[in-house]
Amino acid sequence: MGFLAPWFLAGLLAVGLPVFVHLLRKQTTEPRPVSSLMFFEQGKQSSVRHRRLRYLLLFAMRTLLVLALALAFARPFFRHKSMLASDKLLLVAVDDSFSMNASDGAAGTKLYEAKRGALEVLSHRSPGQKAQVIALGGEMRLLTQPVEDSDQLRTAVEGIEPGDEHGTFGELGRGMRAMAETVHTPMELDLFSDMQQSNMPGNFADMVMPGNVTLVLHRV
Amino acid sequence: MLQRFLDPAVLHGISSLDLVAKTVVDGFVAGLHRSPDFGFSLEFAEYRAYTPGDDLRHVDWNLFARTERCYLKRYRGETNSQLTLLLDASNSMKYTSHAVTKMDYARYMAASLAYLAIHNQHDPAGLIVFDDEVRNYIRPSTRQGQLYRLLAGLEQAEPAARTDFGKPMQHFQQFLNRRGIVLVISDFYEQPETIVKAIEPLRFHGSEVVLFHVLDPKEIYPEMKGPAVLVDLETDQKLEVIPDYVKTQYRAKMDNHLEQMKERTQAAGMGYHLLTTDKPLDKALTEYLSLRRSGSAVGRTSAAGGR
Repeated sequence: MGFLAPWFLAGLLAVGLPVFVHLLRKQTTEPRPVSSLMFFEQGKQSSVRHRRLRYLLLFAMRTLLVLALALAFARPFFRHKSMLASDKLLLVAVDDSFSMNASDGAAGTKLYEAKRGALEVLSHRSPGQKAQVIALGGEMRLLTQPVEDSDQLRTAVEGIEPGDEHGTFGELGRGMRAMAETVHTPMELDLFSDMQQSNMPGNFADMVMPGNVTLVLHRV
Repeated sequence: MLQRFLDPAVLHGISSLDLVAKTVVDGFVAGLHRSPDFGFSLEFAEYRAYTPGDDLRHVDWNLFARTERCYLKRYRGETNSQLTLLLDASNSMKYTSHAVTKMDYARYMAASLAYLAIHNQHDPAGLIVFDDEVRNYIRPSTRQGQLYRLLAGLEQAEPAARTDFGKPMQHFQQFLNRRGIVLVISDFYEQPETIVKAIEPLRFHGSEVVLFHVLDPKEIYPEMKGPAVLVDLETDQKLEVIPDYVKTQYRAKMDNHLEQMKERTQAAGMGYHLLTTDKPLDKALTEYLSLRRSGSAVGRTSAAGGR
């Protein structure tokens, strides 16, 4: 549980007000005339206890009201563990720029390595977790919708072909920021790229990721 | 139907005290099953055990010779019984929990008794108003205008000062030089033995003394919802009191006080009646007529010589 406006919790100090009113304030009652005090005796100590008992319900209601108001203004929210496990959207971005055609010896091209890594990440996602495949060349292309279907995701990854453009991470940053406006759940972006310096944007601010996106880099 | 005119709450709406007295007495007399006039006779009524202070002339010595016990011989008869009303006008009489204060109730009672004595029974009636001193004294008389003198004296009897039975009762001795009926109307906030000790000498002239103990119902059965600060009307002393105490110990003390009052006054040969201000006034009037009847018997006994 957290609070969006925790400074309003200072309002909890106002609980002291009903405490003062009910327990500490001296009783001010109008004196009642009687014919004689001949048969009366002083009973001050017990009167305080009696007053506490009598107004207990009112005291409890007033205290609860103050607590509820302070908590309401602090805007509490709850984090669900289930969201971290399965509601987190997995984004797999594969760089298909021209540089990814480079061969890395007997293992094949970098694109091949990237696709293999992407498939591995997809295979290890949580049950029921949605994923989306993105190809990153001169521009960012969404190859699938957020789906749970492993076959569809696998097909999309395997269908990525090497391009002749050079990639730009700035495009990826803008795309993620646009996506964050509509998707409020946490997202994990797994980027498979050879991290060419030419992919870096002119403006560093273009690479800023939204708050709900966790970036995981996989250099190939 | 007429009984409701004896209700103090109804009487409270009547501003004139003489009208109150007339209403009460007429309503009371109309409700009697027999005439209030106790006819003249020398008919023997009863024997009564001798108590210290009784006149030895009234003792039946023949009976004493036979039984070695002292008894007074009492006769029915008709005399003029002098009525003296002693009215406590101390500050405590101002207390009330409803429309009628104890002082109002005492006034209604005294006015009704005076009206009944003078108007219906042709008896001399007088009034002594006291607190810690004798504030007003109207000597018993049957003169014309006596009733209105008494009613005026009652009207002027506003509660003030504290109650002290000792000092004024010493003065009463000099006022009460003739045998008759003495009715003391007070809330009696004093130790019973002190009250009896102060009032008992009034009997030594042969008068019948009756104490009318006037209390508000809330004084006997007080209600307190929370702790409260109480102020003594006579001393202005303040005291914080809790409901638990009032429900238990106060009730016990008050019950004991009333019990003691009854026992000690009756042991001293005096009458005692507890009256609450929400009850009709007929009890006091009945008691007066009853006393007058027995009081006249004593008077006749004296006149007859008793032997």
